[in-house]
Amino acid sequence: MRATKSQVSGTVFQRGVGLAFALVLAGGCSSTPQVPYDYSAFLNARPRSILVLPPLDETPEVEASDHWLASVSRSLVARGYYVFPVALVLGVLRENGLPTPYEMHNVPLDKLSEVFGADAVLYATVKEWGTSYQVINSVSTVAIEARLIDARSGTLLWSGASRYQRSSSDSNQGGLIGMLVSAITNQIVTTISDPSDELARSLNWSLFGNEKRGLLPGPYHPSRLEPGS
Amino acid sequence: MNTRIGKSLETNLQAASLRAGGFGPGRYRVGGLHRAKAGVSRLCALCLFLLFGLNSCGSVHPWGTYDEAVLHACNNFAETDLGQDLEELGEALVYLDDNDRLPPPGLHAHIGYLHSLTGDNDSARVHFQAEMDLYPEARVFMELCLSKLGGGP
Repeated sequence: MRATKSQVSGTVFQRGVGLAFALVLAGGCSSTPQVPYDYSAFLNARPRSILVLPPLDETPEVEASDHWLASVSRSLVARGYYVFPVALVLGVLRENGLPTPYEMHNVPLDKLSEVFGADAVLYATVKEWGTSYQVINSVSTVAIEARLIDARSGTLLWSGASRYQRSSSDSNQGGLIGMLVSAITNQIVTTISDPSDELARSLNWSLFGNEKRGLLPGPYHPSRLEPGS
Repeated sequence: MNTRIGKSLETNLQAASLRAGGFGPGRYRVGGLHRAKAGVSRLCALCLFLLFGLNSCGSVHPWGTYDEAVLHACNNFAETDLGQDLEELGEALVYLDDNDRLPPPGLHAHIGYLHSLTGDNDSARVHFQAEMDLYPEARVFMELCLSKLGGGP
């Protein structure tokens, strides 16, 4: 069947829109450098489980460490790893005389391995966290550095860093009044939920799930599950 | 073990593909106005998929209120009721069971932790054991937690 002119132009239009979406997505997701990563140590170790220690906090926000810890599990699990229950791990470490992440990060690896039986330990640092409010705008920033260490050998398996920033004016289209209303709305909303939490989830997904520099898929990742298993 | 996990992930992927459905060949194979409408419908469906599909990308398991519960525990339940977290996470477990899906890593262990904090060691024991049965990677840590509870059934 021959295609009519309108059908052809419709198809071209649809392809154009599809391409535009693809470009927008590519632009929106490419916040980390797309340089291939050397995974040789990672491939040698092939960890199945990750122990996330509460992160060091280099920000003035006293709750940044807890908030990032609460946000991190699902992105690592989505990457296919068993992730130790972060709150229970924190509770056990506190009970054993380690009140802050600084003491926890200094625990010898063999001791962590003995207590938790983890294959790898994730050491993270919160570099930036929080929302600054201006007259008609608010800017949220989250920056994280992380290193994955083999719990038995101490070898560095992976490291990464990411910084996300989101401004409330990104979505402002309604002129000054619209911006003021938006700022007030943001102020009300953010007293209930910190926008940094949502930003941190996006960052975690990009940091660990990035196809070129993220973690390699773990044993529970759909791509590594054998068909019919 | 892996069979159950495999099936659960498969079910989740099927659900994801159903959410993204409507793009297969053969659908909307009609001409003229219907075809144009179909194009618009496809675009709308694509927009919705991009909005909701990408927003939830990576959430292989439904997590319920796990993040909030972790935060409450980090804060030593300073402003929250431990019982409420137990109730909400229990509901998440029921939902997962009803939908033949596996609890994500850490969910049973966290519930066990909350039970141990309330002094209900029997319930704590059940959940620590469930975590270990689902995920063998947790065995060393869960055995430690079980030994700390003392006694035993």
